[in-house]
This record gives sequence, structure tokens and C-alpha cells, in this order.
Amino acid sequence: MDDRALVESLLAGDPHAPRVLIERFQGVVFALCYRMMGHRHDAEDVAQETFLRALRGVVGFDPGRPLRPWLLGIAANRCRTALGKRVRRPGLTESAEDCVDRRPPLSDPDDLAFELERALDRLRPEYRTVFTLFHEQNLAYEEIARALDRPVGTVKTWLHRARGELAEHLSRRGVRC
Amino acid sequence: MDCREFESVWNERLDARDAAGPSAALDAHASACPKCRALGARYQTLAQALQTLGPLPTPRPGFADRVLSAAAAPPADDLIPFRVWWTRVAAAAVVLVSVGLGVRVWTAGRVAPGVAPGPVSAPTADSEDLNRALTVATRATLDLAREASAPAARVGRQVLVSAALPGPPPSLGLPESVSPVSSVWETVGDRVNAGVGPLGGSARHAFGFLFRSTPEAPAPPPAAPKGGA
Repeated sequence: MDDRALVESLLAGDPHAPRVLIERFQGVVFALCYRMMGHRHDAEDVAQETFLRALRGVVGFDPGRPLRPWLLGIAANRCRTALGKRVRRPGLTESAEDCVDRRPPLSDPDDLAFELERALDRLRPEYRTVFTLFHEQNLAYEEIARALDRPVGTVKTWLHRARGELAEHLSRRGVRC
Repeated sequence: MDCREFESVWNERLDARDAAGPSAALDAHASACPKCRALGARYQTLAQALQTLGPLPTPRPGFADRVLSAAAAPPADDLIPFRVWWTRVAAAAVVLVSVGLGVRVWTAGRVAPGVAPGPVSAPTADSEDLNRALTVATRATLDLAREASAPAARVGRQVLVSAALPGPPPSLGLPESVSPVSSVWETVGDRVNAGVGPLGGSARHAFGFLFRSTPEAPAPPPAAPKGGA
């Protein structure tokens, strides 16, 4: 069953269609939520909310549109809302970008993945979202722009700045290749 | 290639997900520009780090079941918390009472033309009583002000005059006919009769308007201009 048939099944009220939708896209949705929230439990909560909203909102969905950018757009919005609530929560106001990096210098220069993930955690949420959608979810600029409801130029700018900050952070951490 | 193009080309290589290979143009510029050489090294590190991004994390087993269970339950958005519900009920009650009182006051103040208010009409009777009481209170307030202001002004002028005179202050001899209207009036009168001269320069300046109300001597006629017309 391709995406179009899946949407038509959902619209027709097929009782098995919601499970198919969730099982097909839970990986990409959860991955984005995990990257944005940085916490598995929070990521699952947001991913669940994403699917609940999608199942409720699929009524007006055009079967000709691709499902993945639509779902990732919902997930990105839910993550942004959840991060906003987390910032307003007492005791959790310190964001990663406000933290001073007090970790010891890189001991194993080969551990690039670890360093890249830590650097990603320190990016602004919108930069992190765009970087993740492009480099981890392999969405094109236009798909990201549609998912986030932003102009393509804005998406490009955010991605370029994200790369610049990541490269700078890796350099400060002493990572050399 | 300039420095701006250098960074732009690096982003194009990363966009194409093919930044590992050499680029003669980038190398040529980097060899002549130390700043871009360092920037290129940082982007090269980032390009290699991007290759190390691992597989996407997955949710715990049973995620789909949990979502479907939540979907079967009533949506949380439809459940109004008790506090919110109670607040809405209280707000509605306040609005209802306010509107009711407003309508009652409005109808009490209106009498249709040509229609005499009925003697048993409670709102009309209340309104008449209220108007009568308001008239009495207004008249009493005006009488009180009239009674109090004239003697007070006279005493104030006498106090100022006595403060300006050398020697012991004269007895003011407050008129017995003027009945004190308040304890303040009595206190002021007692103090003045006791010879208290409390007015300094600033006080005299503040109460100077009392002097201006006294009749002044007529001004001398203006001198005729020299030479005459």
C-alpha cells in the first residue's frame, strides 16, 4: 500500500489504516522528536501527539500530497510547542545554548558522531530542525519549507547557519580531520 | 573566487551530500587566504562528521498500540478541567447578575411619558425617595458651605493682620452669633483668641489671597503727561 492508498484508506475509515500509518512513519517522526527534545520519554510523548493530530486532521488531507513532510511538519510544530513549555517550566529554564561548555577537551578525536550530537544539542531549535530534516531525514529544501511553512530562502539560511555553528563548535572542541 | 563564494561553494557541496572529494577552486582560494583555509578545514571536519550520523533512533516497542489506545480515548482538548469549568460558571453568574442589576436600575429611572407612576410600584417609590433624599442632602451641603465660608474668611483675614502687627495680638472677639459648624472651627477660633500667631512668611504668601479681597484705597489719578497734548 503506497502513501496515496493509505490516505484513501484512512479517509474511507479503514480500521487498520491508522496502525499502518503509525508503523510506517513512527521511525522518522520519533527521530525528529528525539533530536529536538533530547529525551526519549519527551520524544515519545510528542511523537504520540503528532500521530493523534494527524489522525484527526487527515480528513482534509489531499491524497496526492506526500505524507512524510506533512507528518514531519506536525512533529516540528509539536516539538516547538513542547520546548516552549519546557522553557517556561520552573527549574528548566536553562537551554543548551545558554550553557557554558565545561566538558574536558575531546579525548578521542575519532568520536565524531558523539561530538556532532553534542553540538547539535546546542543549536537553536529552528536550526536544529532544519539540519535534522535535511541531513537525517533527507528532505529537500522545498519539502522542508512546506513542512515548516517557511520560505525556501529562510530554510537555506537556517541550514547554512547551522552548519557554520556546528563547524565552529567542532573546531573549538579540538576535532580535526 | 572570493571569500563569500568560498563558503557558498562549501554549502553547495554539503547540499549535494558530496563534500569529501577535492575541489581545485576551493584549494586555490584557500592556499591564498588563511582565513578561508581555516574555514575550509572546519567544513571538512563537519563533512566527515556528517558521514558518522548513525541510524535513526526508534521508539520503544508497542508505540503504535499506545498511540491507538490514546486515539480511542476522548481527546484531552475536549476535557475541561474542573478549575476552568468553575471559573467559567462564576464568570457567567457575575455577568448575569450585573445585567439584571443594570436592567433594574435602568427601568427604575424611567417613567413613561403620560403615565403616572403607580403608588404600589416599588421601583418608582424607591426612585422618588432617592431623589428627595438627594435634594435634601444637596441643600444641606450648600447651607453648610455658606455658613462656614464667610466667618472662616473673616477670621483668616484677622489672623493675618494680627500676625503682621507688632506687639501683642489683639483679641479678635469672635461673634457669638456665628455658631461653630465644626470642631475645626472651634479649634481655630480658640487658638486665635489665645493669641497664637502661627503665620510665617510662606504661610502669609499662601494665604495672600485673603488680603486681596479687602477693599483697597483708590489709586491716585495718573499724572498728566509732561508737555500736554
